[in-house]
Amino acid sequence: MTEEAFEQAVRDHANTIFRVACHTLKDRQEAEDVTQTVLLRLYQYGGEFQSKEHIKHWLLRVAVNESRKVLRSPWKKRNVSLEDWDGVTETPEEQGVLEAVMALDVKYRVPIYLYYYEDCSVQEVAAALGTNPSTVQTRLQRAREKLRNALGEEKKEGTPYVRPQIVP
Amino acid sequence: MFDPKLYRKACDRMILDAEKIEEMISMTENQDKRTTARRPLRAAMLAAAVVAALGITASAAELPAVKEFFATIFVTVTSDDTGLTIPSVAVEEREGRSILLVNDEETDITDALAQEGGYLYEGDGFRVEVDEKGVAVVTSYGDNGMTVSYSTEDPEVQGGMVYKVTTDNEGLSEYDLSVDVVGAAAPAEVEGISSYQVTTDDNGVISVKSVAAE
Repeated sequence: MTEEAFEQAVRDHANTIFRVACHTLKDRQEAEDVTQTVLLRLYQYGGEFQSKEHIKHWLLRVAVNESRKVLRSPWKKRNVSLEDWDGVTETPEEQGVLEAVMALDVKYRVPIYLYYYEDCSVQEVAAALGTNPSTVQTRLQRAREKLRNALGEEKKEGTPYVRPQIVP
Repeated sequence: MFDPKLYRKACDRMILDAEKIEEMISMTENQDKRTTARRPLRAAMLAAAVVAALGITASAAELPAVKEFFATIFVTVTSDDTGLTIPSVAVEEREGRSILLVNDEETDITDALAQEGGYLYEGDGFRVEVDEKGVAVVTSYGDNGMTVSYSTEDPEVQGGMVYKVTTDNEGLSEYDLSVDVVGAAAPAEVEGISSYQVTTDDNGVISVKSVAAE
């Protein structure tokens, strides 16, 4: 890969790598570190890419794996507060959805991101995660159920209580 | 309700600064452009010793199963929750050469074994370490920080396999590993296939129990 091709790939995909790492690690600084590591892997990669899609899916796979390595590290910070995501979004509705996704277990968060944001097919998500398409289907289904419950409950909590009145 | 449009808008704003991206490009391009994907493991061992080991493995069929250095390993994890990549791994000897097979990808590791005393293969989600005797130790990394590793060298476990499983206890507590060791003398009642139930307790202590395959 030439330096020009590398630089173009970075500008095209750095944020994708960063978001995958954010969804895995829930920590901006660690996600930046993972992004840097993945870019180095790309720079040192000796193989050839057939297309832009090929680069993207290669990067997704490496980003998932590098993020998992950090997740396994004994130095990984635990219990990152959801308040870390304050200010990322513009509206309370966006904030609510993002927080609900980030509150999911990591095995649900990353498939949700790849499927709904990156427009990956189930097969492509499975390839990025190194798992079976049927597993991805199951996780997406469970994730949607959990999100439905989480967001539905939030909505219920926000509904004002109306005292019953006796109509004369 | 989960609204994918709102979610996408939220993600749109989860970005790196343009300056940060340029800084990353600059830092990366200052690095040495060399691949680190596959590299020999340890310092040099005596080539003669390796050749002797290979000579033994050439007649591996005469050895007890647990001492069989070159076995073909297939492992499947029967759980939706592990997210593990379990490669098909084998180390074969062909015409005096040691060939590492990982998911049908072949690598001649004879020189690495002779010169460095081992070989390391890094795949996506797993790594395979081969020592100077040709024993392959496969380590797969799953979701939730779980790691499963297995090798051909532990005489305490049927089929010559040992599993070392670690997990951070986030959600995963029990799953099954089915192992098919081609060429190993497995118990007659399971006809070459052994199944191990791997359980983690609340303290993260792992127990491995051999169970009969159905």
